[in-house]
Amino acid sequence: LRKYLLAYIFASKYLHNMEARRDVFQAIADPTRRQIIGLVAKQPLNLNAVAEQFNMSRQAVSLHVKILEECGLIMLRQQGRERYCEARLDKLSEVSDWVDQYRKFWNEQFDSLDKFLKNKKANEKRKSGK
Amino acid sequence: MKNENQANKLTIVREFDATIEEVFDAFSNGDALSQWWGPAGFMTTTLKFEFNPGGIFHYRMQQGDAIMYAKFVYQRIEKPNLLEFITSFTDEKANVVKAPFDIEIPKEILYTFVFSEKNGKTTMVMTGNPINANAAEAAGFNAIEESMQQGFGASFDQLVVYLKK
Repeated sequence: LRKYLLAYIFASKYLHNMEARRDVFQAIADPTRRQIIGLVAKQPLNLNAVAEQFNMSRQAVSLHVKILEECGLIMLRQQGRERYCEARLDKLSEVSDWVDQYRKFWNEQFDSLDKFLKNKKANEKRKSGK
Repeated sequence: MKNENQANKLTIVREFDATIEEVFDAFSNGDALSQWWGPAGFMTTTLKFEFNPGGIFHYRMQQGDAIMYAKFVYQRIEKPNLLEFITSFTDEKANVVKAPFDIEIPKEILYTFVFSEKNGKTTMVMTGNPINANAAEAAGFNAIEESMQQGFGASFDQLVVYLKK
């Protein structure tokens, strides 16, 4: 975690332009948009295939796709007569980073707790062995 | 379609080779806590330890010039099966502050620990949920599906590289 905390401190001191990042967070604040990302993260899909997954008008889905495109989370590519949505996972990583960090952090804490409990047990055994 | 509430929490399950009382004690005893809690590489100092609902564990983390404060605010305590606390970064007076790094994360996270013992081993299930988060912060916390995670495992290192450019 040390490395990451230092990176965070580094980031807070030197990274001033956080606007792009906020956009990413706003883009995924909506559950429909999160589902769209989840769908196209697995494979590129054309707009109709995406729209079929939702109980809402194609126009409404298109609007969500447009917002995601503007935030740089998905890319629209014309292929023949179809427009395909592709996920831009590098952008999403900005969001996942700190969740992953929390997971890592807690796992490290629990490693430490595990060690603590083992030491305690070993000490008790030593004492009772006397 | 995937259920929105599935797999979108921070959940960690661990088994410890110790009785449920020993594991719970490691959380509820200030001495024990100070021996295992705290980020690696940081010197952690306990400033306040009140293990009761509404009480706080306030601590300082220091590494060279970098000093941070944080706290737990205890919620439900049902010894030895359940423990709940809210974590946040704080100032030196234990007031909640934004995380000391410029990334949008929830200020407060509610952690629930459920312990159960079988054959002398204790299983712990920890879940973390943001509270009082604005939509964007909560989304950042909840939006991560495993299907997405596959694509960007080592991304933080990349961010570090990116930041140094």
